[in-house]
Amino acid sequence: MTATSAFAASVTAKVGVGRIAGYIPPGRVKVADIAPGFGVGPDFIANKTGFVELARRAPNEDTSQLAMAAVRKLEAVDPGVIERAQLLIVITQNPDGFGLPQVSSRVAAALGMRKRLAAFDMGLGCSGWVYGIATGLALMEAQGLDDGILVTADPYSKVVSSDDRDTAMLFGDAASATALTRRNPAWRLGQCVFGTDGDKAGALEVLADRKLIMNGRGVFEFSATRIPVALEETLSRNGIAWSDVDRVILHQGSRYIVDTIAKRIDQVAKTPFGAAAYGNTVSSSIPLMLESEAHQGYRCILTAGFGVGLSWAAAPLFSLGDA
Amino acid sequence: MTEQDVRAALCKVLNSEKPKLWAVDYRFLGDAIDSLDHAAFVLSLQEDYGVTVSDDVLEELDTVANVVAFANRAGG
Repeated sequence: MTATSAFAASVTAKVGVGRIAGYIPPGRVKVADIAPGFGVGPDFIANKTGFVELARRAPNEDTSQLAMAAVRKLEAVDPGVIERAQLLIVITQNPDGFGLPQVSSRVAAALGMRKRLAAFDMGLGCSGWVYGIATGLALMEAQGLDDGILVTADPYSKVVSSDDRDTAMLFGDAASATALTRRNPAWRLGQCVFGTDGDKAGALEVLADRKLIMNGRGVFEFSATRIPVALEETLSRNGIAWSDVDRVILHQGSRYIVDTIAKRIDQVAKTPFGAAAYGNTVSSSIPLMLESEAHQGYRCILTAGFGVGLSWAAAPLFSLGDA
Repeated sequence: MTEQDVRAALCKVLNSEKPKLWAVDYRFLGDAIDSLDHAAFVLSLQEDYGVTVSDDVLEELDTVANVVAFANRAGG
């Protein structure tokens, strides 16, 4: 398929991605306050991790509350979306309580969503948003559903140890809600590339003490080698070239990893890092970036999520014009 | 792998010519190179010279001389 036909194929009545809303709780950890305890200076914060502040949920704010806050923000920009939704997917690996019942059920009840609702959680980390839109849109297309909501809500403050140098300066709490819709969608999802390397899953793992461990070198090598290849494969699968891509929105794992991948694909100017004010928000990092990036008039945005699993997913979003 | 190869890899990672001036026994790890740049340096050794670096020898790669010695043992 040529680039032209890839864009032309978007003018169909198929389901696509609609509005996106993010919720970042107001609490903050200032990294400069904790960095000296890890022997880290301002240069490392500014140029390596890139995270100046880490968003923190309130003590009484559980995963479902973060999810609900994001959905309410989506409702504010897309009125009626809660009432219309026939599908609700929540991406999380840190649910309320012990994960039973599922977060999606809690959210549906609290928001008064319809009972004829397909609602389920998906257990994925930083690749979750891309998997979520691919799964949600495919399910809606196959079952003739018109409206759905994809939520990401994975507060890592539940599992990060404040004394762990590898993780304490990275992760922030947040949530997002993405409308999946047949009525006037803003973006068509192109062909995706998925991957999983379970042999290396130990690089990101929550142990029996409910604390996260991360092999930073392992995650770095995985990200720096797998993602450039996946992005190139995604271009090929969709019959497009880098010149057709206006923006590359990567999982905001750290400034260093975003910059490393950007250099390896030779797309530095198109590949922003934008999470300095709230941290690595896991599956919410891509939609939080898209909340603003999606309204800049871009025709094609290439996205890639990667992390826990070790799992990755890359997907192009093609603009359908003013939604 | 030669000292020049190691210095070239370090210069590329740091985007600086300073590694050309380092003594072969200067311990750059933790001083001139942080953990992230070191991970990128090790990745470049693996990709460009075909050596395999396991986590348990990572901290041995802390001077130009030690990197050359390791690479020679590892066949790179």
